[in-house]
Amino acid sequence: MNCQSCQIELGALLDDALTAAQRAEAESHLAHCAACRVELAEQRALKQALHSAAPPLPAASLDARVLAAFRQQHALPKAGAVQTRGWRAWLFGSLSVPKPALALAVLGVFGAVMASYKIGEIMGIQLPIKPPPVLVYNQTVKPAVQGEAARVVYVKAPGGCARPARATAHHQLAVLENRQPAARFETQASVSEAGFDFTTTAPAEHFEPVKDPGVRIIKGGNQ
Amino acid sequence: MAFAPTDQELLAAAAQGDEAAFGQLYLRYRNRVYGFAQHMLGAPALAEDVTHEAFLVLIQHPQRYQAARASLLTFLCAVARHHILQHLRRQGRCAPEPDETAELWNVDPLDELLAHEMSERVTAALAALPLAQREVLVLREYQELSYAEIATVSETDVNVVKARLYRARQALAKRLASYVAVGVAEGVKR
Repeated sequence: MNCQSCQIELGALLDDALTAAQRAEAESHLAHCAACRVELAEQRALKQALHSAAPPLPAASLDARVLAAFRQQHALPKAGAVQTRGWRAWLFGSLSVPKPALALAVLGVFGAVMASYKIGEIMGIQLPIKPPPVLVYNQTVKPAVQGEAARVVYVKAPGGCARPARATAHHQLAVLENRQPAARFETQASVSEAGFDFTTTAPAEHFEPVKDPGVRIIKGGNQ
Repeated sequence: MAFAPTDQELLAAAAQGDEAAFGQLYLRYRNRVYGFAQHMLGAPALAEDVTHEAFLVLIQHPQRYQAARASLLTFLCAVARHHILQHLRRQGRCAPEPDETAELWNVDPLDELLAHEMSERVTAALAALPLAQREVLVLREYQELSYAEIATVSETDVNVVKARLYRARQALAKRLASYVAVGVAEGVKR
C-alpha cells in the first residue's frame, strides 16, 4: 500500500468500515510511514471538530405538529362511535385500502368475469363452467386419396364449433394402423360402398374451439 | 430484565393508534432526522417541515417501512432526503453551492476557542460543501449510519459513498485547517 491509497482509506479506518485485511494493510503502512500518521491525526482532529458542533435541536412546536398529525390520523377509531369487530375487523382491520375502494374493486372483478363469460359465449369459446359432455360425431366421406394432406374433423360442440386437438388424418390413420396410440380422441373408420365412415369420440375438453361454425370434414388445411 | 421495545414493535403499536408507542419512536429519531435536514438545508423552519413530513409517512403509511430492507433511521433519512431534494429543486439549489464562507477560515483559531463559535464554524464549513458530499458526511458523522446504509439513503453504492466521504473530509480539513492543526498538536501533547 502506498501513501495515496492509505490516505484514501484513513477515513474508513476511523469509521471502522474496513475489512480485516484492508485494516491490517493500512495499519502495516502506518507503522512505518510518519506522513500518513500525521494525516491520520488530522483526520481524527477533524472528526473531533465536527462533533464539537452543538447538535441542532428542533423547536417544541415540531413535537406539537407531529403529535397533532398522529391524533388526527387516529381520531376516528378513538372517538369510538362505531367499533369494527368480529370478522369485519379481521377482514379490514389490517388493510390500508379504503372500504369503498375495496367494494368497487370486488364489483369490478365480478363484472369482468361476467363480461368475459358473455364474450366467450358469443365467440363460441367453451368456458369451463359448462360440464364437459362426450361428443360423438358420425360422417361419411369418399375414400381418401393416397398421400392426401391432413384432414381436420370439426364437431359441433356446446357454445360453438370445435375440433379435436391434433385431429389430422395422418394421426387418425396412424391410430387405425396401431402406429400411434389414441391420444386425446378416438376415431374409428369403416369402409362402405359410400366411402369411409368416421366416428370421432372425445371429451369436450380435448377439443379446440374454432370460430367457424358447422359440421364438416375438410381436406387439406383449415379451409 | 426489561428490554426496550424494538422499532418494529413500537411501529406496529403506533399503527394501531398507540400514542405512547409512537411518542417513543418519535423521540428515538426526532433529533437525528431533524439534524440531517438542518445540516442539509441550513434553515430550522424548513428542517422542521422535512422532519414533520418524514414522520407523517410513518403515521399515515406505516406499512411502507419494511424492516427487512433497512433500519428505521435509514428509512426516515431516505424520506427526509426526498423532501430535502424536492425543496432544493424548487429553490434551484441542487447544483453545488459557491464557497461563500472561505474567507472565514483565515482567522487565527486560538482567538475563537469558544464552543459556540466553533460550532458555527463547523456548521458553516459543512454548508459550504457540495450537496452530495455534505449528505454523506452528515449521515456518517451525525446520523452514524454505516456506509451501506448511507448508500441506501443516497441511492448510490458503497464505493461512491467512500469516495464522497474522502473528498468531503479533504475539503473540510482545508477549511478547518487551523483548528485541525491545533487538534493534532493537542493529540501529540496527550
